[in-house]
Amino acid sequence: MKNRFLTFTVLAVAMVSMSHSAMAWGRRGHAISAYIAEKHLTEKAFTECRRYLQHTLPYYSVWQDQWRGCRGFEEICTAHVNYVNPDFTVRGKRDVTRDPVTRVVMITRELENGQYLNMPDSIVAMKLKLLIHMATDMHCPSHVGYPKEMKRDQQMPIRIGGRKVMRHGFWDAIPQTLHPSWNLDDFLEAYDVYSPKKIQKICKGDPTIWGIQNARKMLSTFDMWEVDEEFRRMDKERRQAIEDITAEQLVYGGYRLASILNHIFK
Amino acid sequence: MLMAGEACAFRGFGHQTIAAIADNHLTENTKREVYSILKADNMVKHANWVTSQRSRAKRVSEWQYATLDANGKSTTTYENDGVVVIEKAAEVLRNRKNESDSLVFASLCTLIEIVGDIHCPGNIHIEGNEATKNFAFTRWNGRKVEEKNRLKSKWREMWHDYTKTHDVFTPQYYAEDLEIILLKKKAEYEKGTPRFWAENVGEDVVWCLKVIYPEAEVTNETVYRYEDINNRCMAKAGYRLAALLNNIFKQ
Repeated sequence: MKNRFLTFTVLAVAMVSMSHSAMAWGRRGHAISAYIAEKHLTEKAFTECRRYLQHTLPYYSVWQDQWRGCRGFEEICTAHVNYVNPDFTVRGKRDVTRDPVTRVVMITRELENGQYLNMPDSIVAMKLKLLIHMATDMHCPSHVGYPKEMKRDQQMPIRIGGRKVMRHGFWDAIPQTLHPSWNLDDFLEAYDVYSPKKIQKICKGDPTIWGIQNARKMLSTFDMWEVDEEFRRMDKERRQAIEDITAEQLVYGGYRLASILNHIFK
Repeated sequence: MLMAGEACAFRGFGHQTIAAIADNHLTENTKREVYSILKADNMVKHANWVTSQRSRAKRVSEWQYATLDANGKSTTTYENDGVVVIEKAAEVLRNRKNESDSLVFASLCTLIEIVGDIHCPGNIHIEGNEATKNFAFTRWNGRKVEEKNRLKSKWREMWHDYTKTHDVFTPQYYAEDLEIILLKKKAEYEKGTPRFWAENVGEDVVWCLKVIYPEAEVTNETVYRYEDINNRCMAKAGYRLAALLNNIFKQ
């Protein structure tokens, strides 16, 4: 009986982890970035986002991942991986407009300068849902696609408590792996620690620049573990490096999403 | 903990969210009385008290269900029916000066959790409609027909899963989220009695069962769209819990 319970528990935990790995940053990571963004919105942007979405930003942070599997939403809900050239500029895979960086730029242009006022509310809401997701997606280490000549082992399996996880799945589930019991306020307190001046610096530029910066920075994440290494036995310094880059990318994604929304609703 | 949470209607987190909504709408007098009984500064901490008692008293696991007759009316007098349990707990609280502290505490905790329970569509049983007890259906993504894209799902579990999606929220933030759109309906929702409330959820159940029924093949889109019903039920539960407590403690 005990064994059956143990098997069930292991399976249940595995299934939860798998469901997280299906989307960049997982539900948790996306909600964290969106929550940080919400805390940095101007009063006007905050009010307008709530008016159009009729929910908070975190509520819709994985809307795009959920709906991409539904008939009729395949096209608008694609664009998750920022495929780059060797100089880290946007390459796209089949079509550059399916790239999250390009899509974030396009949607921002469609909504800015008061253009959103001429659109039906449901269209503005849908575009906001896409922005909330893609602006944070592009900050996830596993969501940069490097060209063949730059690629190392994209799979880069790692083990968590003996369970083998691919690199993509590892980063997608990292907020859950690091702090399974933290809630949004806990993450906010730990990660949202930058000064206004530093935040301004982080948000300097536009999504195209941020995409290049992310692609350059994320290359280092290929060197963070050996193939098949056990995460829980990793030395303190390297675990801390993983925590640091997770925190940095989640918070950068949040600040930058806020700056986009503040720009749209200024 | 996880298992205990899963066992109840909206999961532990959903009940905490309902309690957080109710906390937002208690009068000052009710807050003083309720928090004094609970020895706490909110109801969230006690939102899963009944579930925590299940290992001690197995019968309480029945309390989460409300049974309606074939016409969708709550006429039952069965002592373990959720509505009857709420009525009894409310009676104890109204008569609190003559009851023991432990019974008053238990009755208050019961109200906090069971009002939530009878608002979960998965907890409404309609006599003569076996499907309302639980059933399996298939979920798929609406475009790829391969077997791997077809997932077996269950009616009751579907209602649990909505709150799971937001489990990194705090209950207070989830409550804030649900109230953005539903606060304007508060006056409408808080009317009636626990029997009317169960019947009201029963109407949603009948409506949902026209699309999701035993062995049905349902697209994910349908399941996602039903989250609005789930949200509405949670908000109703929060507003109605606050209204019931405000009524009890106005004396």
